[in-house]
Amino acid sequence: MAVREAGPEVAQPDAPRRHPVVEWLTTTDHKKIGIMYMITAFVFFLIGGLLAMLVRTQLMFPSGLFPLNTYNQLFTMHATIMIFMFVMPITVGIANYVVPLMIGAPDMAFPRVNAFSYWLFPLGGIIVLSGFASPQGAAQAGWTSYPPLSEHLTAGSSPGWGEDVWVLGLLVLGVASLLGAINMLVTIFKLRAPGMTMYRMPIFVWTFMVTSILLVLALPTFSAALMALFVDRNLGGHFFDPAPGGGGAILYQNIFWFFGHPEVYILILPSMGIISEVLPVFSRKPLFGYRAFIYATLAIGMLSFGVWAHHMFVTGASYSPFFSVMTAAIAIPTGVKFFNWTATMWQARIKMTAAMYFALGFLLLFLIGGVDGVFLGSPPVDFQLHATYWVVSHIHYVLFGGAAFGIFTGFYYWWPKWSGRFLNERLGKAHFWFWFIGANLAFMPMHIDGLEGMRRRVGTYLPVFADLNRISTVGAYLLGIGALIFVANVILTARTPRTAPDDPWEANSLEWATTSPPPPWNFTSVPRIRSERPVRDMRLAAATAAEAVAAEAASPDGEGQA
Amino acid sequence: MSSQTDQVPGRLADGMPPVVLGVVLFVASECVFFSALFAAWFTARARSPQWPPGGIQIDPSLGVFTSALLVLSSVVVAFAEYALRRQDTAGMRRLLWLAVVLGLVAVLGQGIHLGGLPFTISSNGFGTIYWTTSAIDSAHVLGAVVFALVVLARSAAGRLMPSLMRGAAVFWHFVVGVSVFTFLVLEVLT
Repeated sequence: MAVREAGPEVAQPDAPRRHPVVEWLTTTDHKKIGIMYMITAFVFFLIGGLLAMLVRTQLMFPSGLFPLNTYNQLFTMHATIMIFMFVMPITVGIANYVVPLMIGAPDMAFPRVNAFSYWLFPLGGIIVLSGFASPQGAAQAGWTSYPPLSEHLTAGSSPGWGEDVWVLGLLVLGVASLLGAINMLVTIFKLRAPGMTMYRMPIFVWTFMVTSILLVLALPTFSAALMALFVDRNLGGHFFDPAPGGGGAILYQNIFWFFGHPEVYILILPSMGIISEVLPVFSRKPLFGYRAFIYATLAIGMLSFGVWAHHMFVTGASYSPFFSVMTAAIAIPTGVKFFNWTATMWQARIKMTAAMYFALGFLLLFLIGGVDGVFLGSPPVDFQLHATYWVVSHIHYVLFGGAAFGIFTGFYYWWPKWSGRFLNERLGKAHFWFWFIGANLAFMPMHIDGLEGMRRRVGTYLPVFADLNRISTVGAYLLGIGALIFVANVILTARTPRTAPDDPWEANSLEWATTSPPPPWNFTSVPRIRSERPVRDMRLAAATAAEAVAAEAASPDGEGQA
Repeated sequence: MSSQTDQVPGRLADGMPPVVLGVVLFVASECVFFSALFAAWFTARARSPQWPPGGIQIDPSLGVFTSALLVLSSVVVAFAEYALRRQDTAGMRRLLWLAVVLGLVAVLGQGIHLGGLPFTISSNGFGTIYWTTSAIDSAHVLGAVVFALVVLARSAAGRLMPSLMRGAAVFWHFVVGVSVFTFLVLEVLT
């Protein structure tokens, strides 16, 4: 393989030598930026996880532990961090690293814009977190921040500047995400290597492409809603004033969820893409129904713009039949994907690596989250379950069991490519079991809590729910231990030698055709691309050539004996 | 002048250059952003017994003037782009400077108009959305002016990619379109 020969030392000849710190702070290399995204997002993940532990600690006791307004800050910031500062940016980080490699590109289309997007991310995150320094505390109106709760109009709602920095920080994060999405789309559309047609792109590239389209078309409404919230809070505006002449509180919900529902797919599509890379590799088979999977992804993307008001059934201000039918319709392309994944593994000789454990965990947990979400799509059921723990269970099955399991699938799978080192498989599997058991302990009882009528976002509850809540809390602590096992794995393996070959998993896509980690500009020559599995093609061609050489070497003896 | 290429070496050379595609995608996101503002406007209008509330009268003459200036500036930018295509760099710069001046005068006109309004951002829903949308609209004209200045600066340094001019022109035309639409919605159709 000609493309293998480049080593990390083959930098561009005119690159000046710089101190490593300066090099990382000023880099425009998509791989370094990807790693910085992932490290920053993981730090926020640990903070968000700590807040989750505190939330669960509060809920061990029916009468609570912390003052209620502290509790409001805890769950608001937990959700904000996990959604906007962990899942979104960490998938951006993974994509930043692997998408240019997967399409045979030397870098992103706009490397400096890429660096700018990254640096806005920690800035926005710190602005949001700075709310904890406010005398009245951080934002406490929930991650959805509905007015009038998030405004000044009702006495006592969202006082202080915690909510204001929440708004400003999210505006900054929004600009970062928007620029990142545009950069990603231009990269995918314009920088593909010759031979890399759209229908030869890896599924992860497809899902991240659709994710980026959703970001471009949905995120600006959230920015508009945040800006309007800021005007209302600080300039005496009436955007969401319920009085006649104002826009009304329901206006916010419409604008927010026009972003918020595509956002759900922004969070989950990258993980769907990751496991679609991992399942075929460890099943030793191609993805079943490559094109069907792509069409299903496009269908999910399109339908996601037509379901926003299913979050608003109880307002009575949405046309429920339409949104209910559209919501049920999304289950169809999702079902297609489940069929793709299951059929890929059918009669396969599956290699049970840690990445594969997490991919299978994704399938099981996301299935539960998907099915209990379909229940909520039915208005009569939603009227009963709205704002109960059923919803909390649903969102955690899809976002933790789905998105986070997909992200960690990607970590165990691409780690050798990123670092040149393998993560410890036994620790990886221990991490999996803590998370798989922990997630079910934490989130399954919430279904019953919700059906029995326990309200979400309330820091106290009736003693009858105490046992189930304690089970959930034990589950949450197990998740915390699992995360620590992952940290330990990273630290322990960081001292091992770099032993990862180019293609340790015998994989399919182009990132495995270069060194681990790849050199600057990724490839020394453009790899030959003739199918959606170019690295497998290279492997087969090499094996065929080796066989031919062996046959030739053996042939004189064979003739002599004949 | 065109020493810098529009396309990435060794990559698909057909279709839009990357910068133009980037600007087009940004414009798509901007359309969604303005849609949300107009959704707020029409929602508040539908919820209001009287629109504009309290018999507010707005004199549209300054709006007509700034809109006309902006449409003219769009034509000037189009000619600047044609000049660049003919390799007439000096002509391109002259026309782009003219467009910058027209844009700045239009923003000044919008500022004078806002300063003379009989209501503020906190008066009522009408005032809030009127002021916010107008201010954001003016900010966009300023953004287009900055983009044109970047083109001029790169041209002066001899490092202008023709696609950057195209990108600036696409953004300029979009901003003018939004500005005229905003004028029609906020002042003519009320």
